[in-house]
Amino acid sequence: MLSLFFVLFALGLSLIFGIMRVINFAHGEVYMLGAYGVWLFTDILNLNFFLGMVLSMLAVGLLWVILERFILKPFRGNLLPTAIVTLGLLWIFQATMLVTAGSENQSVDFPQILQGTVSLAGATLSQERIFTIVIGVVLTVALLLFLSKTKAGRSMRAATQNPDAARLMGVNIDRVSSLAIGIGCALAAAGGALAGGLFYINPYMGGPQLLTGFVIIIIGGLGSIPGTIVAAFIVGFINSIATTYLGSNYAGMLVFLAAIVVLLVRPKGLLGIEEM
Amino acid sequence: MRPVQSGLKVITARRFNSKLVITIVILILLFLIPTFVTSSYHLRITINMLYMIMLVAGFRLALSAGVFSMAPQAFFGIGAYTLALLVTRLNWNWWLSALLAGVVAAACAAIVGRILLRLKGIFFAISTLAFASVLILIWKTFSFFGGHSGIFGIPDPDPIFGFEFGSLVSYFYLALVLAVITMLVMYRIEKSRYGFTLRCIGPNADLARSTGVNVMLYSITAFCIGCFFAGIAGAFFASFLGSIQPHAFEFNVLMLILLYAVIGGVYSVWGPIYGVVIMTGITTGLTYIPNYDPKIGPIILGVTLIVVMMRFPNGISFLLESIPGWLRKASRKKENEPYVNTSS
Repeated sequence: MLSLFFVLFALGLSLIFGIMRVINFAHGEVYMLGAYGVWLFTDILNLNFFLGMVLSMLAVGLLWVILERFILKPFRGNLLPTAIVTLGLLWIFQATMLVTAGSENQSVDFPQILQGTVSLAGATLSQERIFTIVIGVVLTVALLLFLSKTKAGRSMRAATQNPDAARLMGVNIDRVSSLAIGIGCALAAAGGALAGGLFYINPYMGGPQLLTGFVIIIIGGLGSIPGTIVAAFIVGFINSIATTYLGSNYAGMLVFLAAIVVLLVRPKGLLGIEEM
Repeated sequence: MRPVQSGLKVITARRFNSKLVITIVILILLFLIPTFVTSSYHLRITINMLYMIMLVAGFRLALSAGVFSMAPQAFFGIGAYTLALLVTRLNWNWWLSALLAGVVAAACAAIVGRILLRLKGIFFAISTLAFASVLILIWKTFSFFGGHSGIFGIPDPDPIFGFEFGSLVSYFYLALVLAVITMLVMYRIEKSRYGFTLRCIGPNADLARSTGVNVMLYSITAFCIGCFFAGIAGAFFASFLGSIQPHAFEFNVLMLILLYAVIGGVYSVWGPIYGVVIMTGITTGLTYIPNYDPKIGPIILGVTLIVVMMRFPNGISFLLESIPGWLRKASRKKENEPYVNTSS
């Protein structure tokens, strides 16, 4: 369950890094904006939850495509400047939400149909959680299919492996970058939207997610989509099991130490493409 | 011949003195700050600026050699915890403990650097971030480090040369002396052969290695020196606040350090000073606007950061240091080209 949030969150981070060599420090804020988007559409504008989620994903994705065009493009592939610029975006979004929506916790209710529990093979699960899992799996599979079956997806993978060669083969890097950041941020927004339904929404919800997201893409290999998915599950399991048996602080330590060890033993990550 | 020679000597002597005189005047002005700044609120802000300058200068030194560490706040914390533990648990002398705080931070940096500097660029950055996160969790978890509530009752520095510590003004002078020493060391490093080599490693480590530079050694020593000053700053910080909590060394400190370093300009020794002074000036100045909502502060910081990055990627120092050049150029133009009114 937790792993699926991680998958949705880290996939975007990984896509964006893979294609643009940009580490998005504001990715936690994308997640937060997605959650606030759903809150805006359902609680304030009284729309259907599903419609709200789709609208939120579209709105956040579009916002980031525009931001990428005007702010990130000049620095593409340059580590320190992009880190700084996305840090600036982090501050801007966090403070904007703090001013407009306030610092108190908000929550979004899932629609009536999804409330209640089901028994599945002896375990009782709430329908909300099953719904979250289904959406997570559907989005992940959709992304994998998109990357492997469509022309746009293949050009994205080409750009990840070697941007220069891809450009020589006629791949429009600008368009691919827009697509990558749009999809990546829409996925994170979906993660945020689902989290908004299960937990609370506040302007600082993105922070812990960001650190975990970094660890996941490091373990999985920067820019590798399958690696990211595998690593998200590994981190999710370590986190759940260690939290239950040892406590959340030890879980955090284990996860971060795991990242350092993986980096030292295999610097390109579990399924990484190249070492940079 | 004689008068000409003596004239030359006078000129060179005057040049040397003018630089020295300016430095001394600035130092005297700095030492007089407490007579102008009397409110404790502003003095506190000034002290914050001084130890931030130490942190940012250390970070910049490592960055100039291409070591993009995301853990300066962790070494700041190591310094603070070392001092706090030595002084409160073992009743050690404050000055010895503060020195040891710097040494411990530098030693940790040497170990971390030796292990993690095998990784390059973003991998090193994120692994240091992971190191910092582990460290904060350790401080939060173990009661030896005081857990979530941290360590309390850290005493003021011991009196030295009959100078008693405890008042805000005395802390200001301590911070000022530490920051001035830091900047002098940074300046000496920048002008030395060692600093030159660091600046060669920064843009292209492979090229530097091909010319026979021991890149690993230089990177680690730069990282250690930077972290030594971060540790000393941490020791000062612990005593200045009187108590330390793990959350004082979290991600947001790193964000401030990055902000100051980049706004100031990472290619100049004086960049950290410009960055810290200008950004603190802006954030403090904003609070004087009537009906100002402090929540808007980060938005203004963020916008400033992005605009500076897009317009002046080399930071404010690049702008400031190119002003003398422009003036010289402008005056030379005036001398050479007579003013012609083209509009008529």
